[in-house]
Amino acid sequence: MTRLDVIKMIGDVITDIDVARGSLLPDDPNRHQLDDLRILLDDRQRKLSKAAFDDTTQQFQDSAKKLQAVNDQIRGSIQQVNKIVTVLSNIKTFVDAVTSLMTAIGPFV
Amino acid sequence: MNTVEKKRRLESLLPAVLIVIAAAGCARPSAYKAPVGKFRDASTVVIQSTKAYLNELNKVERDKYIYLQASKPDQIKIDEIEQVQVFSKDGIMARLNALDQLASYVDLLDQLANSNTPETIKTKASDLQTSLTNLSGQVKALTGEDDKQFKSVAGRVLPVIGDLLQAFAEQAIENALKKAIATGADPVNQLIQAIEQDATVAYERRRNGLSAARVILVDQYNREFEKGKGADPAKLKAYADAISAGEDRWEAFSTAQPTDGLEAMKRANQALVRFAALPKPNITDVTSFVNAMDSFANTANRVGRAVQELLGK
Repeated sequence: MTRLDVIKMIGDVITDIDVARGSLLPDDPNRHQLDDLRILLDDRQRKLSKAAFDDTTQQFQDSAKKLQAVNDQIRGSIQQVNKIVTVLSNIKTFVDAVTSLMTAIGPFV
Repeated sequence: MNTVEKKRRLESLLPAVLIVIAAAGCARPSAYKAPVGKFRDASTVVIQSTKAYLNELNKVERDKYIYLQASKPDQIKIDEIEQVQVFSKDGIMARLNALDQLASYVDLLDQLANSNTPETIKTKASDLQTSLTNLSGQVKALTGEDDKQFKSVAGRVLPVIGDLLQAFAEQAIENALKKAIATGADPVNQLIQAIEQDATVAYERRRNGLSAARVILVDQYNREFEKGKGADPAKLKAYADAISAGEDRWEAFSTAQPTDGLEAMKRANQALVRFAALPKPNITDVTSFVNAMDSFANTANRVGRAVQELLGK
């Protein structure tokens, strides 16, 4: 995987989160949690967009592989706001995996 | 373009190409005339579309921040506006300049295939060489972390293209076109690749911004709707119209990937190289060359139309 693949993957999750956010009323407490998680992911995607680093290192590849596995697990589940507890938990898992990846390449971002 | 139109265009191009090949036994500059012209036109569309994305990158980031704060609502701070920019102003200028030089290079190829005035070509090659030297200086001065990759590729390929242009200015047109295609293809593709990476980032960040905007528009409507009997029907209608327009933009956006056009440009550039390398192209080679340029033109037009629609131009 490349840096661009990761940026795109995060983008896919963000657009799914937006579908979930837009399906809840603005003052719904679950909506606020979704908003917060979106802000976190947006910030990470922006940092990855600005960063220049070697995405062929083993460290990056291992972290990206883990992120891909999480993404495969949660794919298609984020828009299901009728199962909001699972949705929030899945997004948190994904955000954690992104944070781990960024920690792995820490000095560059 | 549909199949019938495509066939008609191919038929209109073939005679000119075949006459020249039959007469010369190899692909002389005039054999490239129509396909290289098409390559130039399609490249112009792709380059303009990519420039539009890069030009708007920081605006997308700014607007996303501003409208997000307004929708919460929360304080807007200038220092936060500046923090959300992805590329520095100098970084964007250097990339736009590189795209302009790429357009000039493709234009020069077209003139080599069409012109009978070597002096004009030599002057243009020399002018472009000077512009590339200036661009090299501009790229060298970039200091941002986000510029590293572009700087590395541009630093490597710009001198190669510059040397090639020097050769242009010194030799006969017949040889220059073939030499340009064969020698210039690789560095040109590397430059396209570097810009493509930045364009992908620009596209993803724009997707992110448009996706956020969809929610802001829906929220606007829902806030009014939640007032129940107190909701203003005129406002509800206006907000619904805004959602509808936003959804149109979102739909158009999915077909407006600048990277599609840049990838097609790289493929067409490789097709030029393959054709230029043939000592005696046959009918199949010519057909394949013309088809490659047609395919590039189709992709370029699709992306160009979608980007124009997206930007409301």
